[in-house]
Amino acid sequence: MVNTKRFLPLLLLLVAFGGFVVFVILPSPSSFSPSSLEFYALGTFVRFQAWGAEAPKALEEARRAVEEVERRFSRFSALSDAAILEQNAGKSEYLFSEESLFLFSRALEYARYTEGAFDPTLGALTRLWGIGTPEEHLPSPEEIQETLQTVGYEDLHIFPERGTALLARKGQVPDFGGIAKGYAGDRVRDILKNHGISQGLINMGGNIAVLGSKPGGAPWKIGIQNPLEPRGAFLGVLSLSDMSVVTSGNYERYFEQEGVRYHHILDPRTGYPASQELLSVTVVCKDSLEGDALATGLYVLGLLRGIELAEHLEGVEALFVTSDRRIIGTSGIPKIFMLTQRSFTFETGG
Amino acid sequence: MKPGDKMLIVLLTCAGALCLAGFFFWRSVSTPKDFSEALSALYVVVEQEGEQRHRIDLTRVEAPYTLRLENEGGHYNVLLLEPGRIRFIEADCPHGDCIASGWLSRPGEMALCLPHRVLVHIEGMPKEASVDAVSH
Repeated sequence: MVNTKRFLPLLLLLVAFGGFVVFVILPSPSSFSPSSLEFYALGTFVRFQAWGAEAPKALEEARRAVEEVERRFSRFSALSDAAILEQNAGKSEYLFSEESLFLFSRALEYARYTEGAFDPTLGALTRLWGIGTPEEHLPSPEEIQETLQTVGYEDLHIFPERGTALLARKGQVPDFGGIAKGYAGDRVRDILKNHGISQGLINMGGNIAVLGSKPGGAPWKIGIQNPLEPRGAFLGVLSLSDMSVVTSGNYERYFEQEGVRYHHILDPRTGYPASQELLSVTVVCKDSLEGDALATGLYVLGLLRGIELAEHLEGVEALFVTSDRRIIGTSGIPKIFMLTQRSFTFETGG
Repeated sequence: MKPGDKMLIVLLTCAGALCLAGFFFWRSVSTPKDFSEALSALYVVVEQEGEQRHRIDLTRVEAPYTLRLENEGGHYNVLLLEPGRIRFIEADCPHGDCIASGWLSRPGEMALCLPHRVLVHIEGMPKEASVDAVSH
């Protein structure tokens, strides 16, 4: 019935093929399931996922980098660069690392670009309000006016030729809270890339950065928080590869007094929390540092000026969620965004 | 070739094709979280200091009950579980953000007590669209 001589080559072919599938096409287990790392840092909960053989090592290095950023730029550590700037304000220049000077320069750049809506010299005002700490309270108008005098990004002087920086006036206090997470996110991304990782998801307490595409080749799906629902509920989905997504919203940290919500995004020009015509702003761009600074700045600028500026920026797209449930996106958003919550409407503006 | 041989070739090719198809299918669905164990369950995970303390199927909660979590410093959070939902109900954290988060009842929702490092999160992804993370 069966001619074994004829049968044998075919069987060998099948075995060879099977072997090829199992040992060559079938990738190592690390390609299927990611390595992940979760911990608390920078005042929030941080979660990383990375695919690839070097992922565990890369993630540990990433953790150290995040802790380093925290040490350097935290408002709460007396040894941080922020504290040094504060101590020397109005007195003398101080030597800073290249990394710190880089961060200061970028902060200044974003402050200029957003016309002071994002301002890294906001520290005294942030401290006065204390939002998110046990000391949070509504300061008196006099206190606010007095403290507002110490705010002014043009007083942050950077001298790259000497490697120094200085806050020009006594009493000025830096605040890098608006960009520390973004900066850390970029450092993590760079570390993962340096280890040859081409697929990863970085979640720095809601600041998202994605490397490459998902395993399988599809773009990552990043939801945008619905400001009116519990955390995790989203109003739409962005499809992205090699991008960062940062959202600033009035629902993250706030206190309420006599029916008024005082949220943590202070307007450096008035000394009060920025107007709440917007519930949130989401910025999509390559670097989380930029996304972080712009999300804050554009929120403070408000819808009209915000969308105008966002449209002008190369490589930046943004979504603005208004208090009357409208979502307005820059012109590049429709290609990458899908509305899922029908109680909101979506349109492009600018 | 004899007819028997031809049939054998066809059979073996089909077997090979099936194996290959099976392999690719398995690969595309092998991310564990995509397959809920039972589509009608609703699991909430409670973590403290990064460690999982509870994993409860909310659809099996018949009568409301509370769970108390204490940390090493003696600080506490109390969770209230009802059929299909969970919330922080009491805590001695400075702010009560966790309590203000309200009820969690849908996959993907979460609430967090940052000072006490307690995280409550409902497993799974909303059925309308699957996301890998939420930017907030």
